[in-house]
Amino acid sequence: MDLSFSLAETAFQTEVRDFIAAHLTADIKRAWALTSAFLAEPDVAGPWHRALATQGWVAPLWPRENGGPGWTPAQHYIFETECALAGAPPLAPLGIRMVGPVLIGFGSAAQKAHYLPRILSGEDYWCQGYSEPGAGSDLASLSTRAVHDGDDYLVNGSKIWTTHAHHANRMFALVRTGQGERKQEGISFLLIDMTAPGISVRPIRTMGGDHDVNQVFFNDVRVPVANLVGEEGKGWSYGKYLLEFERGAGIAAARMRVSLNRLRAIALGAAGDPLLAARFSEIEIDIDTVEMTELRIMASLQAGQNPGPVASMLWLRTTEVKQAVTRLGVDVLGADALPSEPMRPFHRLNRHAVMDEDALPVIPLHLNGRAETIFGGTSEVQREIIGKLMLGL
Amino acid sequence: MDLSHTAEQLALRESAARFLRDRYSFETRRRIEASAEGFDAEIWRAFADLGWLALPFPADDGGLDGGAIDLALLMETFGAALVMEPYVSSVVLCGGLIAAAGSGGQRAELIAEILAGRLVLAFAHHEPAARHEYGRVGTSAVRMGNGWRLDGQKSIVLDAPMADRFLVTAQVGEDGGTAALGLFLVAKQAPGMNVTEYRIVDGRRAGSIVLDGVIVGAEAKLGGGQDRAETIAAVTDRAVVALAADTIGAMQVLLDKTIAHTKTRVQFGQPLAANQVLKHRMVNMAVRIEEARSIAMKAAIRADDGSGAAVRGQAVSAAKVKVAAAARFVAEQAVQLHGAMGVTDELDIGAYFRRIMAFEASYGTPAWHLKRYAALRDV
Repeated sequence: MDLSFSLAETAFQTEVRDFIAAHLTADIKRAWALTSAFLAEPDVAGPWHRALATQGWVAPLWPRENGGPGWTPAQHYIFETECALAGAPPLAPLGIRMVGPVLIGFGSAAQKAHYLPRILSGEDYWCQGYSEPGAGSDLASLSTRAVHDGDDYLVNGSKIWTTHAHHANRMFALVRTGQGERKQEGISFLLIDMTAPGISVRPIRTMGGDHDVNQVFFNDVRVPVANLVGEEGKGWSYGKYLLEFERGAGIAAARMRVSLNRLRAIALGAAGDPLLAARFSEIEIDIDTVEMTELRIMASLQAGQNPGPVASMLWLRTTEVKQAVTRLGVDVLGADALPSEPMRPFHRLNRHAVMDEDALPVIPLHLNGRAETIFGGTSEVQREIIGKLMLGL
Repeated sequence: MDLSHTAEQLALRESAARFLRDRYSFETRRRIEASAEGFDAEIWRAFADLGWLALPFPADDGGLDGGAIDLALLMETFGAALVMEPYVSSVVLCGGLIAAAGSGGQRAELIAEILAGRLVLAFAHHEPAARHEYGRVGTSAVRMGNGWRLDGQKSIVLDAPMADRFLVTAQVGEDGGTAALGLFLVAKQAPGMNVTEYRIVDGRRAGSIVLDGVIVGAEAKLGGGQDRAETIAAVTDRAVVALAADTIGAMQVLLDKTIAHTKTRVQFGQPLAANQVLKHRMVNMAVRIEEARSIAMKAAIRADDGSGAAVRGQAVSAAKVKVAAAARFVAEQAVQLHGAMGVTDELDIGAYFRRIMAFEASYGTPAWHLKRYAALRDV
């Protein structure tokens, strides 16, 4: 066993660092460092997306023939880690990591030819229509309906927790097109134009004060049948395939380390307090552990093996450790955790009257971070899955 | 980067597990624990015959050139079987120190005896005055003619009752030099050695030693005149890696037994495992074990890969903190989910619980390792 990268991988690491140094501007870094929402706003991540697009580095997991860079798992790991350490905003996963792989796996030739290049270039901005007011953890009980009407489906219903629906021009959605014996049957995977008549978007402000998520309403929205992905009624299996990607991102340790080090910088003298110092070290060890688990998974992918059950456990712990980091921010600030700034985005604020700039996103990050163990399948649902698959429970 | 075990390594684990399944049942282990000696000489000879006592030594010393990963695989099976024998004391710690610091003559004389199973050594390092400050040594070594005079107290010297000799750490006061940590081989029967033997919480044996003007010859000092603090840290780190693996072996057994128990034990008309609160508890146990495997693997790699004392020490201390916390959780939940039977000495669950407790308290507490982790971070 060894933990070192090969010469070729080290050379790649240098290439990535050089690219970042040449293209990641101080403005983008600052804007991302001051972001308290889950995703960077399109005007922050967009320029970085376009810089990566010129290099062909937007979609690390896509096959080369679809515009992916053809990287090994080790290269992917190095790339994500270097971007994180440099303070680059993560690109919105909805097109690249979510609908992209589904289209590559199950889309028609026409769908692939139309949508994939537009994801890579950043021309299309996607959102995800999964959860509904009546279907959260029990996603398969969804009731948004799509009925045939000529060459179209007529869609009626509502989706909720739709991240960046207010920015998106496309949505991929699970809708009910039929009723089977099991509720998982009769669900279809549709691509919806967000500018279509009958769609309205209601913003939902999180307790951290950010506008990430929305509720989307469909009132007799016409969606061409050509926008069905794969077979009608098979949407559940495509949706589950996608969730694997959503949960399996698996490269988070470097971003957590950056967040912890930001708190360390904010804490200054306070980090010398023995109780606080112990918390910093405990959480850093948790991050070391997540990182080593990520590397185990990466190395087994690299060796062409299936990483097995450890991958599903990683998601569970990663979300918990992320919350431990943001929660530590509350302890670091002490009474200074109380002042609250409602304006967004923080990077457009001039000197703040009360708070240091670095401290602005700390508490909103903690508050919004409570969603880590909820979205993408709650921790409790994850435990059900792990128990069933791993322990035969 | 390669994080997979070789076929050879997996074969070692498989053959060790098979041997212990056949020869080291819980009943056998209970008999050994109850015996006056607290270990089984025949089993120890078998360990020698199987090559396990030679595993971590360099080929030049007659060993098998095994690394920390090999050692961890073997120790995982020891933890699963709750092996009582003084492997870590004699082979990993004392053997490791002799291989690292001994002169050519000392290595030739001692290592062959250790790996043949004829010589058992115990590491007399911890002291009662050190308490939570692991490795603080007050025992002194003062030159007496050609040799040395040793004075001081040692405690929790694991496997002391079965040891023929001790490897004693002491502050060496060389003329005009600064204090340095030295290692001295001392026979148990040497005049001035007062050894008190006792049982520890997991059934193994230990001793406390008062060294009252113990005189040893020049040949008793391991190697030349250097400070051995870093060698001791490196070898102790290797012992922590070995014991972390031992603990992982024990944790896995506890989880497997807990799952089996809750699937078969029927209460309120259904198996215990059908209750979501218990199911999720067991998933949390499994997740903790997987985390322990990750961080212990990192420590094992860093113990050997020459990336420096700080990197190694941080990885090992992280593993101690994380594995100890995981093991405490797993052990407590295993007892809880076995109900009242879990608290008895009739079931083996309690024996695993006590083994895990011993890991936590030995070779630096988790709190000591957490502080060391933080201190090394800034190196």
